[in-house]
Amino acid sequence: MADEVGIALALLAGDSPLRESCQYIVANPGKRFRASALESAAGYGDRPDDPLVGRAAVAVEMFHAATLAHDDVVDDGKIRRGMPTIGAYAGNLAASLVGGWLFARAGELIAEIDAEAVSRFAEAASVVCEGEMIESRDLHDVDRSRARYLVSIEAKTARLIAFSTWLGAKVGGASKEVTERLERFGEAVGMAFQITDDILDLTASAESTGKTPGSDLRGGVYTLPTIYALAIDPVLREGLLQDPDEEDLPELVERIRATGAIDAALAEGAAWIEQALEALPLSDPPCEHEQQLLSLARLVEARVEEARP
Amino acid sequence: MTTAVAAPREEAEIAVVGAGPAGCVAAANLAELGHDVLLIDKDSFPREKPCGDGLGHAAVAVAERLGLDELVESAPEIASARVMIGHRRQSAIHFPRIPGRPLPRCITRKEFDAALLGAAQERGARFLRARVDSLRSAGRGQTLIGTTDAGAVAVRARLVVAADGATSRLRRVIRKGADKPTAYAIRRYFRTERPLDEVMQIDVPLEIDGRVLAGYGWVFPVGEHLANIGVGITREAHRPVPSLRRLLEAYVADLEVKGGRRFGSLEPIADPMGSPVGIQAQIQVAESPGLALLGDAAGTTHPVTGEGISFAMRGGESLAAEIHARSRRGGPLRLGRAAGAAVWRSFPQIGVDVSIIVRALMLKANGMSAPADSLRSSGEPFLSAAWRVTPQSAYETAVEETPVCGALAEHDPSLATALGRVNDLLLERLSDSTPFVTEVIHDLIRAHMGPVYAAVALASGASAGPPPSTAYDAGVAVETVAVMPKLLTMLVDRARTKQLKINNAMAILTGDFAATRSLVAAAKLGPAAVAALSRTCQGGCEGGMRDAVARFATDRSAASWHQAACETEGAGMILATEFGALIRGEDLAAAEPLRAFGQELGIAVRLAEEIVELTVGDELRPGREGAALGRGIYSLPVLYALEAEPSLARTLVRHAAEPDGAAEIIAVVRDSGALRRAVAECTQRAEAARSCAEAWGGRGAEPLAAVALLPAQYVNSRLPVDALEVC
Repeated sequence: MADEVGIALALLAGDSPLRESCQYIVANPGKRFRASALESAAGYGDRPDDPLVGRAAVAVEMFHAATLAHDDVVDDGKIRRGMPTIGAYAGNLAASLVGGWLFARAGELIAEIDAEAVSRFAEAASVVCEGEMIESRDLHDVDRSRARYLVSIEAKTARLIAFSTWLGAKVGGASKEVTERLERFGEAVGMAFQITDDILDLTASAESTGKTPGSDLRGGVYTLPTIYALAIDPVLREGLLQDPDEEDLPELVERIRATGAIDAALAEGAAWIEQALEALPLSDPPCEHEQQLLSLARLVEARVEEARP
Repeated sequence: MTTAVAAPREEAEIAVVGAGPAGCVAAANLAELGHDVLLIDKDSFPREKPCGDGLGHAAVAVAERLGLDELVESAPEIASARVMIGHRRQSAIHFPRIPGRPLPRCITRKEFDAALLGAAQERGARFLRARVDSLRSAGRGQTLIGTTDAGAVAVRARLVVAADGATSRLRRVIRKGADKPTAYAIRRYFRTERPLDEVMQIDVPLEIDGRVLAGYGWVFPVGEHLANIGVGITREAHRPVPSLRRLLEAYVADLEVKGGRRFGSLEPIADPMGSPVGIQAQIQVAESPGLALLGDAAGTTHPVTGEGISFAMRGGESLAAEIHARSRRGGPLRLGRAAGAAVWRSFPQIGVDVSIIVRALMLKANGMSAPADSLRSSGEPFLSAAWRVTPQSAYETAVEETPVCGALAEHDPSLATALGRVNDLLLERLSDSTPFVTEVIHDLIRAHMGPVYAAVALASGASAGPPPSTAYDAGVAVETVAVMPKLLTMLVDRARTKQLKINNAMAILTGDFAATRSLVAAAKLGPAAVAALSRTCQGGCEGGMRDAVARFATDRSAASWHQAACETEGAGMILATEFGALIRGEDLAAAEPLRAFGQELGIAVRLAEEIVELTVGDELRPGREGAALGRGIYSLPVLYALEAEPSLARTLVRHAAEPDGAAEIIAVVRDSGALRRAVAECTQRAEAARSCAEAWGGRGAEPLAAVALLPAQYVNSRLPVDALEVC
């Protein structure tokens, strides 16, 4: 997988001013979660080895990389996956343009498939962008509701994973019913993925992430555990309204933990995993691609466990 | 029931209730289109109306379209507004004099409304003086029950347009429960001792007896010695509405002290008049399909400036067009949400949250504490930035007034109409997002010559029949994709202030929004269109980066500039011709003969924008020429000057440290002959594009050739006569 993304990036003209920044993405590949989900979903069809499957996998990873590049500009993030972000070493404008370029390159690859893939991609991309907008409008809002949180993560995270499994199944030639089930699977796994990611921000140690636990709180991103805790603990509300500093974070995280909100959020993450497993089309005996999707779900499940304080 | 049967009956195809600007414009347009219209108002005309009497350029344009030139010309043109901020800071807003766009005027509503009613009657609308009490829907018609001097009257109509003001009776009829007005205004005429300047004065916020109120005061010149002075305030939920009359007295007393030198003494010449103002968070839509709300009844007054007439009149035109289009298709005349959509397009969808923000900002500007919660919940940075960045709302600016639309109209009016539809579609597609996005993207699109890319797509896509619906999607796609890298460069990495993070977030989100919308639009034209669009977007990002790394580089070569221009504007224009081929039903390769056209025109467009920005300033923000120099953006004229005058490099470096030296640099660009060289290149490229369009010889070749010449014409029309004179 990583190789194919590398190849695609190498298509850049030799003198492209974005070349250097794109190389950086090749060097720092991440989990390739979406590409794996897409390729596994393709296994449910009769042409799992269609060359378009590989191209589509590259496309969704590129699109994901674009959203990360832009995310880091929005949050002014300096470190991702243990390395400096593009913005940190090449400037925010470079990071923005690299993101734009990756997004467009993904569109070009998807256009090789067909009209339906193109319009579903356009729709998914709009939804992801709107999800980011919803989130940025909710920043620092102590009254952010669970519903608004769910809308935002559905749009910014789950939609792209659902699109990946849908696209894999479609390009691989799966039946309509299986394609729909795989899309639902992707959606549910995506929800669980983001919920646990958000819990990890509060619970994971600084050694494993390179960030102080609770850094979302400083940025005004109030996620599921915080939303639950805010309903219980009025002191937390006051603490957040006072624009906490780095040193206030441990106390705020402790307050959230004390309300039991983290357990409640973990349970919600686990429930999404349940839903994902229910949606997963089964074969008897289990085949390889099913195992792969199961292991993706288990990967998220393991993160749920990891997030448990 | 028996009373209705006994009452005398009137019949009309369309009944318009309320003969203010909204109702009269709708009635006049409908009557002109051949509809049977009955215009109903409770007053006989002429009559007094509480209002500031200020007519924005859009209102003046609609009045001129209705043939009221004589009345319009009798009032002085208003070239600027003076905004006094808490008597401490003053800022002048110049209304740009753009060909085809009139300047604002001040005309009393007494005269203006009577003339509008006359225009409606001239076109065949009938007038009935009656107070409307209720509305009944029965079968395919509507029955209005009202009272005239002679007693009860029943009016049967297929469709009712409610243009009966902020306290609309009809709106209350269809929606139980009274919605309280959210704003109030009062005005009084005064004779001034000294002659008035042709300037609209606005005092903001309203400070009365040491209290700061959410509102503003105005002094508008209706005649040489006749001022319309008034105050408007927004109702605050937790406070009672103060006495408007008292507020006005206090404001006038204050003016006599602080504006004494300007006005001399102020002598009231009639009683004050006050009324509620129609400001709503959302456009009001009638649930009943046989009823359409318009003007203040629909809540279309601008929540910040309080201007209502422009939007009311523009809404009247749109609604009339919508009704006419539907009636031609036959069937029952039911509008439902379509009525709202038609009116809405003429409304500044800035939304009521901006008024919350502006109120909060006013408080802040005066050192008062702003309610932190309302700021937060309304997303302050985005909205206040929209206010900063876009001096004029996207919904206020008609695409018909842009130079590119004029060029199309000259050769093929149907293309100009199609461009108008692209603009509508653009507003529609962008509007479901934050107002900031709509406003900023539109601001960029219309900043210079207007939507040139869409015009090229439409003209090169012209074929014998009417344009297919994909033509409009093509227009939206090429405009939004061209804007994306511009947005990023404009907003990201600006001055390193505390707001940096906010700027970045806005830039990215707006850029992404533009990109995803262009993708959605291109997807309607099929995979080939998406592939082409994606390649253009990649090129745009690369060109943007090429420009970015060359910032503050005094040794940048002209070749590097040209390469970036090819990658961005050139590629964008080529894409427009490719989409033209798709609109014609051909494939991308069919656009090959227009490749050179796209390339030359794209470069010429960029060069024209740079020349104007450097010498005159952006026309939406006049007086800030050369602002890009301070950000290290060296345009082609500057690069040419560096070639001719290497010592300019030192000045540029100095200018980077202190941003006041633009004038000195501009003088070198002129005196070294670099400006002349850039203008000549712009003209030459425009000419090359024109020949290419003519050689192509497709159906849209003529309008395309006219568009090709725009950059040169634009530079010539904007550049001061002596700009090329070398000292």
